[in-house]
Amino acid sequence: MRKVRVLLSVCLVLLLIAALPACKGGGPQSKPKVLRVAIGADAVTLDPHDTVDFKGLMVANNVYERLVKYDPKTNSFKPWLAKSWEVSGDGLKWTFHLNEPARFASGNPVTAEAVKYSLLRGIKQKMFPSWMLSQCIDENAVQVVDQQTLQITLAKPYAPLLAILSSVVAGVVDPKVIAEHEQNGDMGKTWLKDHSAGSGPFMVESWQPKDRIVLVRNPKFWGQAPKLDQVVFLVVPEASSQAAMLEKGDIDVAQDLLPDQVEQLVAKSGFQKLEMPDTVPYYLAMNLAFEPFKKKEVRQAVRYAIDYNGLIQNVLKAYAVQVGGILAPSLLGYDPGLCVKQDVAKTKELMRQAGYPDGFSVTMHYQSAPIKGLGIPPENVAVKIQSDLAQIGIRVEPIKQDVGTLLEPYRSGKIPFAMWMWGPVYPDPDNIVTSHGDENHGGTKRLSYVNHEVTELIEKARRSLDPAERVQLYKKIQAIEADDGAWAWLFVTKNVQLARANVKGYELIPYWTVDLYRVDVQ
Amino acid sequence: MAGYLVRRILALVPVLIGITLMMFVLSRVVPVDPARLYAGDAAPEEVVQALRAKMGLDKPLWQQYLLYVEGLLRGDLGTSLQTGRPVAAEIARYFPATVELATVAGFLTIVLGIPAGVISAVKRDSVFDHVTRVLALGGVCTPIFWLGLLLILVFYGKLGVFPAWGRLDLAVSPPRHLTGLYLVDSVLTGRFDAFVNASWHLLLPGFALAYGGAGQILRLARSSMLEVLGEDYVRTARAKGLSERFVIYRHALRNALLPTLTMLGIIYGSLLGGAVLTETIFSWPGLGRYAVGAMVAFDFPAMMGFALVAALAYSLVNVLVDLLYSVCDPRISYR
Repeated sequence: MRKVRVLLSVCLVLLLIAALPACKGGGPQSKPKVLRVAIGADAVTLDPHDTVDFKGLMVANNVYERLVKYDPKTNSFKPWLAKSWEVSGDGLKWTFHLNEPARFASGNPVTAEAVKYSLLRGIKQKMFPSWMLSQCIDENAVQVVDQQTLQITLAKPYAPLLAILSSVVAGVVDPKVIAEHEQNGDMGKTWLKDHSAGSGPFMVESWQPKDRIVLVRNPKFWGQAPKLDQVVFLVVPEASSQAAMLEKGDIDVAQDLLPDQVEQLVAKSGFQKLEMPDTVPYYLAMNLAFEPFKKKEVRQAVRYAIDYNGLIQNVLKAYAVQVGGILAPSLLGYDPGLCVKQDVAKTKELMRQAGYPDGFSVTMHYQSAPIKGLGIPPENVAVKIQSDLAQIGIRVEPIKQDVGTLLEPYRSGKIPFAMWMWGPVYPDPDNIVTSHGDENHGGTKRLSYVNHEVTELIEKARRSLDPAERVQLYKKIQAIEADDGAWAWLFVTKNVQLARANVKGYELIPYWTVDLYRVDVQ
Repeated sequence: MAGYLVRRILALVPVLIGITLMMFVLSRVVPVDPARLYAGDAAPEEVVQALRAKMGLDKPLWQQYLLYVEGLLRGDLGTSLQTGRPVAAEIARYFPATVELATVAGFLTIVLGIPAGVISAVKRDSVFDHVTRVLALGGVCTPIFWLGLLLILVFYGKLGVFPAWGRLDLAVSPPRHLTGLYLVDSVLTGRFDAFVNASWHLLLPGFALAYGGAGQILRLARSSMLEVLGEDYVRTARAKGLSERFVIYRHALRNALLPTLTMLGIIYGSLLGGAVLTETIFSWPGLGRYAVGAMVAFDFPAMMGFALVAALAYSLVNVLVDLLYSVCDPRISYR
């Protein structure tokens, strides 16, 4: 019996030794070019007409093409599925001419009918982002002129149209493939959550939720062929694990590191830091319905009391950019001239003029989520604000709350003072400026801020098709708002990612995405 | 025995009804509007209202609850507000990863905790006893997230021995889905490479999860053994001339195991509800992460589905532990 046990033990040990190579993941094979990217959170869905989360948008961006492509460098729109377009003199009729060679991954041609189907699917499904399309397009607005020509007729001129059409929500899907996977007339809603039917450079190969999303090169891609064969997004929620995996070479890009980890790794050789200012501003929102903030001088005092430089350099580790208005650097109408510096003497004078020479006490609500993209606890920023405002006698009591519980009281105007954030959902200023200036919009109403001139200027900018004129209008709107001071704009964070040195062409573009067809691994 | 089992399982019904009711009330009294949360602050009000109706949140509370219970009776745990997928299907997807990790952790807890506890008791006040007691105390006191990160740093970062992420290497494809347990599926489908690789991936998170429990088990096994070793029947057994090994393993251990078994049941039952920190640190696609995601997103159906499954797993494990009592101690019988 004893001998049998010894023999069995020896066999087991030998078996394990023999199997060791398998632990490393198999022997040498032909090497496809694979980019391995660690992401901190999983996508929620990969359906372009349903996705609103950053990771889902990043995947869908590389799988689904749109009529036009946003160019962040020039803040304009370039041809994509549409090789050209023209707009009627009154700004109502938009005619798009499609690229003839465009093909879906199935081999089916991308036709005007497919584009119409996709836009209407986006509207009809009534999913989270549907409103972006339905606010300017309805079923009757989209007409197929011929196989290669699509016409959109608007009720009023609408400048953000191209920005919306460049967004993932306007992604073009293959109607024939979807028809094959329809369940009870759901327009492929169930199937498209984790499959793809696009014409982009990549296709969804598989998605194991909370584990990995695998994209493969679309062999029938009609445009510039991607250099990568496969892209694997690994869901690694812990930033330390991402850092360790990057250092060991088990991933090529880490998307969600903390600033300290980025600095530590960059100090070693073999890594490249990629950064891009975000589009989502953080700000202090002052409700004009509450006594201290009814006074314009108080609001201005808050604006000039903040030590912006200290906040960005020390608290945010220089991974942020100051903004003086709602518009971030990548948006049309951004105006760096509106940024102010801390001026305690001026602030004290303003407080005296307002009738608050000894200051006042106020609560400041803020969301519990870490500072976007940086993982820095929001209380670090809140405490800095508290300390800056204490210098002018404003005694702030910071109150941290989950966004779920804070959203309703804030939206209904019950919060006098809050630190908040809000970003555009497509690359046009209209949406975010409307919510922070148009007196009819809930975002503005919650602060009881009313300025008819601002509301009129926003409407004018929305209807103007002249980018130069829009820039001037948005600058003017932001200048008026800065003077009115319902919002004290603070900063936008930087999207920072770290890649190994052998990764080429990985360029961040606003809205937290990347064009993977440009990327190569050498 | 069969009658007892049926009674115990029937007793679960009021427990589960209570859980659904409690979860339902708790989730609805939270001052949160999930529709607004999902649609986003930027979405127009009419969009949010439509979404609220689609989610069924516009109906009276009692009606929402009855609809939920009606669905439960049909085996429908509802649809996730966040993903739009059936909650039952989502839980079925994440649960096997948690079961596998919990089972390995439970196994390691037993392997590390019980023998060390027994030897500690037998060799009371020896160097071994002192060392294991310190280690056990360390296990009980060490925060799991810290231990997990330390393990990753040393065994992955420095030594490169174990992987730190997920259930399988990228280069190893998962075995054909039969049970969702990679170890079982790889054996059933003859995927030896997947079996070894999955085992390798299980070791670090399994150990991180087991260490604390093993510490508790060790301390409990040691104290139970010390108590039993002082009993008259042990002295009698020794007086009969039985070998020390026989006395310890046949007479003392079986009696000392009962409280340890209870604790093991509690530990394993809790692990089946998902080990959030371990699953997060080791990027383990399990139920714990699913539950946290659901809670953060106020995904009511997903939260309730998770609570039901976790409660059910916990209860069933405890029924199993009760049954095991009779195996350890023949004097215990169930009618």
